[in-house]
Amino acid sequence: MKSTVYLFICLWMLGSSAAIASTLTEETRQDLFSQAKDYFRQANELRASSPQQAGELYQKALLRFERLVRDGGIENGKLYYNIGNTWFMMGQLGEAILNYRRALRYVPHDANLRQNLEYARSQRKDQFEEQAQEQVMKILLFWHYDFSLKTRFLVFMSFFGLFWLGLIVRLFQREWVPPWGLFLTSLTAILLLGSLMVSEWHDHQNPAGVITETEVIARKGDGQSYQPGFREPLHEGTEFSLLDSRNGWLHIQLPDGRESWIPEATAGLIHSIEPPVSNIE
Amino acid sequence: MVKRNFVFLFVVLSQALLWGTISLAQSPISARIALESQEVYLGASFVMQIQVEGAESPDKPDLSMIQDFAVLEKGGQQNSRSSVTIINGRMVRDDHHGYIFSYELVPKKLGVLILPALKVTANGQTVWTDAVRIKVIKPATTDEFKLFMELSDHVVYVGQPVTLTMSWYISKNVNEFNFFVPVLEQPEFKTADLPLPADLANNKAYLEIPLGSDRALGKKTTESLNGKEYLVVRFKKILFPKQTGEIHLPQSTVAFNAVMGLQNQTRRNQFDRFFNDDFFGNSLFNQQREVVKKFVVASNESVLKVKPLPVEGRPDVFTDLVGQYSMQAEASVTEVQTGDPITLTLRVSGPDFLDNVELPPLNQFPPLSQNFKIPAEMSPGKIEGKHKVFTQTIRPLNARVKEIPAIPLPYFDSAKGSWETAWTQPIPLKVAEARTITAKDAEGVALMVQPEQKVLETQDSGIAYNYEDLSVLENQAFYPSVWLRSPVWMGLLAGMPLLYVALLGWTRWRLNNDSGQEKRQLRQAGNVFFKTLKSLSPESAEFSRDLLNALRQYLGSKLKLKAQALTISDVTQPLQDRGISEDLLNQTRQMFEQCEALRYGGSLSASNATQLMDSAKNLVQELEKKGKWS
Repeated sequence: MKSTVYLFICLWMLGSSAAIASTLTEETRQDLFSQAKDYFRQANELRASSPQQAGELYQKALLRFERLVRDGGIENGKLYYNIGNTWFMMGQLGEAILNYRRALRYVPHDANLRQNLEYARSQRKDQFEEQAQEQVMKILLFWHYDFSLKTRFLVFMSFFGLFWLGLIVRLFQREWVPPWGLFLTSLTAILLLGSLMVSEWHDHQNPAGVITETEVIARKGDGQSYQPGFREPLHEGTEFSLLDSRNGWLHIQLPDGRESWIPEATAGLIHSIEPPVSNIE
Repeated sequence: MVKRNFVFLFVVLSQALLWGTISLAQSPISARIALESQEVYLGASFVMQIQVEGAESPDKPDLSMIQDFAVLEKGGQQNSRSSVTIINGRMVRDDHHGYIFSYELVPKKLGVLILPALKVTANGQTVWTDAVRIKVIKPATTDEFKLFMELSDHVVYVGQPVTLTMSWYISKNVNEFNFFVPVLEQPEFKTADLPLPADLANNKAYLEIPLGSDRALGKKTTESLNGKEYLVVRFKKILFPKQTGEIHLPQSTVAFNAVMGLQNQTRRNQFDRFFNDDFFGNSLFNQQREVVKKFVVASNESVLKVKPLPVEGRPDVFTDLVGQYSMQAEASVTEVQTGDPITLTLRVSGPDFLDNVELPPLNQFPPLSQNFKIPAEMSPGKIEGKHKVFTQTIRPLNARVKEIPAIPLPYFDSAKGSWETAWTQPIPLKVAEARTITAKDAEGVALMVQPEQKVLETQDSGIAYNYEDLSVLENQAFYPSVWLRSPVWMGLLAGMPLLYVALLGWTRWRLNNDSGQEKRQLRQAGNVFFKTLKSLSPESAEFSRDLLNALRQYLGSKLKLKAQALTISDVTQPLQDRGISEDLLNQTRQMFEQCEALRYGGSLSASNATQLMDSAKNLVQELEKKGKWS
């Protein structure tokens, strides 16, 4: 009960720090997007014949896409997907996977995104077996894993409203609203509320992240003096859950459950814990 | 000014380059021998350098004159440097060109040995080093240490892997050990290492042993030899004999310092330390100084007889496999359509060392390549336990394929002394024809022209296109907590429960209020009647009585009268007052009369009872509609 109350408070309070303001006009946004598209296309054409020039053009496209996010205040799955593609074309697998994962929050059903993410994952050096328990959870709790936060929220609100409407109608016309109808609507609403709370909890307590450096020596503690945690370094594109953050070091948990510490600068988080202060409304 | 500086620098550098070239061409060369020590132990290796001055790339010295020492080459490196000094405007350039050859030498006998003068050739000039005297002294001998060299076979064929095992028996604490294993440098062999053990990561029993330019993984165990307990350091190497004949394997040595005691120590059981984790640790933190003594232990010598592979019967495709091998095949699926991928797994078993095992290319094996599409490249094999596992994707080309044929692995059987072939078992397959739907099918013309059918395969690699429509700029930022703070969603979330609570309170209040109760009864009278009607059984003997009572109850509630003994005359006027028509009043009267007649006058069939019930239901529905009840 206490934790539920805490989650509600978390949901409430985090809302105040989550809204990001735009400092760009609509016209500027469209211009930036148009330029980014053009640079990306030009880079694709030059990729085979002049890789260096193509790299510079990808960089230009990337700066514009990222400015749309940073200054334009646009959180969009397709935009993150485009950013991921640009990083991928530049050979930065870690950044590509990081942005694909960000896109997944908004457009989890997008077939292209799924395909690109899987392909990028297949290219990384560190491969982990997903734990069987997690696979089963993904099948059983499909609504939690496959639906975006927004979809889950809207469906929750619909069922929440239906439940109370049913109760109100039942006050006057008992026979119009069967008890099983009330039970089903309340059950659906509770499941979706639980899913929303878990997502928020996870995003702020154990946010997911991706290693963006080519190679990182993961250590047993939060400092260079600790022994390496693994015989081989971790490589870019490796995904993890953040357990703790301390003095510029991240305590991470890998998909197979093993834990280690890496320097903060070598990885990116999919969902920022704190948005930039200047952009907070 | 800047321009003048550049000119000056150019002149200086060009002069330096010119002088350097001239001096390099003209400078005489010299050579000398430098030794790590001129007093060495028998069997212990030491470093010898031949330092050449005046040449950057001299020819390799001729060492054939060195007879009393075993020699191992350890490479060479340039030793050139140059500097330019300008004093009072006068430039002095100092050029030094040189090369250093390094060798590891092991003396073969005791006494004062002569390292003869060695010939060095460079830039077309020949010079000789001075001869050097080296005193070889006998190391301490003891039974506390032993070194054994063993071969897994003594008679083998060319290319057949032989395991060389070195076992060093130790019964005192030692440090600064140095192995000299000349067999690993012999040109008659190619060497390899066994796969790393699975428990290597966290097992302190393993240690890395430097072997000249090579390394080996040693394992520490404790063993008993002739009734005495020893710590044994053992390492293995794989030897592949490259040429035939009898190959002499000279003795190997290990030189080391043994700790004989601790200075100022009263008594201590040294043997206890052999099995401690700091077996090779130093004594930096010890308060007492260790008393060490130099030992050199030599192994036995050995001979390996290498036989040639017979020419007769040698297969066309042979991948240098000598030993005894077998191979099993597995298919990922056995029921497919033409063109579907099948992962073929080939598992090769054989000797301890399988790293060198390669399979002949499967696409050059006609029984397979005729019926299957096979990529030219095959995945490199992977060692899994005592097997090497290869995987290859193959795709059946037509529906006539009934099996994956037996696949051969030719090898030379060293035990039988003959050429053999290991075969896999054929794997039965069910291949169905793949139907390709074309645009012409949709137009109904596919039957007329049968084009060549091909299965369209999805290319799994590569990423998909960027999105370019304006939906990319739509802000999908979604934070539930932000939404919940908006008046609309807050209203929905909190408003509905509040509304419910308010309505619930209101209805409860009305229930508890007398007039409210009456009104409620009035409103719900119809529902109560219909519910009662449903509960009546037409077969029951009391049916007509119960029906009449239900009707009385209904009219009593509606007209606010006592229901128990209502008659039609009691209700006629009140019903008229509430606007009930004469016709409906007559129907009510008939219903009363019918029920009372039946109650006192006889029974009713089930169908008639149902009919009566329907009439009563219709009557009450009409009364509900037509009456002004409020």
